[in-house]
Amino acid sequence: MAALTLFRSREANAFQEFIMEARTWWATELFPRLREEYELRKRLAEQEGRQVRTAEDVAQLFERSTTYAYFCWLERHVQKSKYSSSRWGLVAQLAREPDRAAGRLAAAQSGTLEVKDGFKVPEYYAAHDIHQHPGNLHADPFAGLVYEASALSIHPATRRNELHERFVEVVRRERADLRKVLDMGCGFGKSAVPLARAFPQAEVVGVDVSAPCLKLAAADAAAAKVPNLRFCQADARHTGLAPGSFDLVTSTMLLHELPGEAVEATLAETNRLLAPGGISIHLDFRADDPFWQFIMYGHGVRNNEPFLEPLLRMDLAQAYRKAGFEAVRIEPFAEREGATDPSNPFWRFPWAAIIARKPDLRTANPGDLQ
Amino acid sequence: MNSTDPVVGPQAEQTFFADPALDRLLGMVFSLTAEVQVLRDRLALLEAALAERGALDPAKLDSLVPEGALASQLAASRSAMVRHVLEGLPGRLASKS
Repeated sequence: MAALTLFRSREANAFQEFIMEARTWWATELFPRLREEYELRKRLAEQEGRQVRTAEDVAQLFERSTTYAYFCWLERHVQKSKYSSSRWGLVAQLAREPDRAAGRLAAAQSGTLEVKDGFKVPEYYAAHDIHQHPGNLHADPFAGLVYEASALSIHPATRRNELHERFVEVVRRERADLRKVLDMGCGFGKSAVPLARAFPQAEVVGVDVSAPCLKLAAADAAAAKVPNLRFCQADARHTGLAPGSFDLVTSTMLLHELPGEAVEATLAETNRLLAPGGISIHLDFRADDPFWQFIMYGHGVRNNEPFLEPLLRMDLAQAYRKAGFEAVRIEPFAEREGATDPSNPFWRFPWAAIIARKPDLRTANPGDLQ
Repeated sequence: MNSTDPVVGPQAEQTFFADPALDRLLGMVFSLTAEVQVLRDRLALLEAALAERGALDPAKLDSLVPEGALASQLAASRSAMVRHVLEGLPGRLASKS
């Protein structure tokens, strides 16, 4: 691994490298032990005539597990230290190097960025510091930089940006003749930039409620000289953009940050914004296996993501159909080669691409609209 | 206060062990480990830089006594390290849950 250069302070970089290493150990050493313990406990339970069918059954198996307690503790506190260590946490360290942070954001060009005066983030958004990010993603002017730095250690085994490049390939497989693309909840542009690069003929728009993230996205897009990309502060539930004006609407890691009614409103807005025959691809998490449901429900609690479990419990295909979509597919998504292989023993997010089409009523037979 | 008294109210950090003292103690162990690693990183860089310039005789390091500005710098570093290692002890949230 190349040395981190997030900060001027070598000590702060060395600390964040330690955090990444700890996270990697958790994912690649501790998690496989937990999984082995699960298989053993499950076998013993079944020998006693108890079936393990739900996340609640799995929770019972782990009630007195020391391994699980350590697993939880590390998941919670590696993340907490990363953000909030008074010594070299991301928030404290960025505040110590404000000129560097401001310089990074200065490249944002006003022509490619529309931030609205008096914009109010949704109540549910302000109520939680998701990912344990103090102040969440909207309050501090450097919040986008904090989030970007934090994302480095979220996917330890994955090359930086690989997930987003692979997401672009899913898009390309579904539809390559794109003219106008909307990326909802675009954050600091991690997906919007690769999309705009991959489809230079298309106009790409990124929307998010976080002004600090949008500023970083616009600055990076300007620095990377991506001309077909602009950013706009808007709520994915009601963007104010013209109906039927996009042939692709995407998001990555947005839906699980939304309460159920906001998921439904976002899907309805996705449908409204798409042209007839347009495609939606939202990348999020699905978990069918009770062990993974248990792990992910717990992750939501430990990582301050209260809407993760409700999303995983939601009948998404039905919600899509209710929002007016057809041909809904929920496909496992590999963030790196071999990630979805059942023999992969490491912790990972159970990514899924949710792909759906807005019916084209001009060409469809009524019987096709199931 | 006995070892199982929780921090009361919305600021209580999540706990995962039967005795919350363990949760807090682990915070110290984790921070200490980070401190040691950062220090080792610094020391390795420093020794490499000095050796490269022919300015370091490792045998003499043990006989040095910090004074003046260096002594103050070490005191400040010690203080920050203590705060870092012990900051998990109160069992308080650093962000809204």
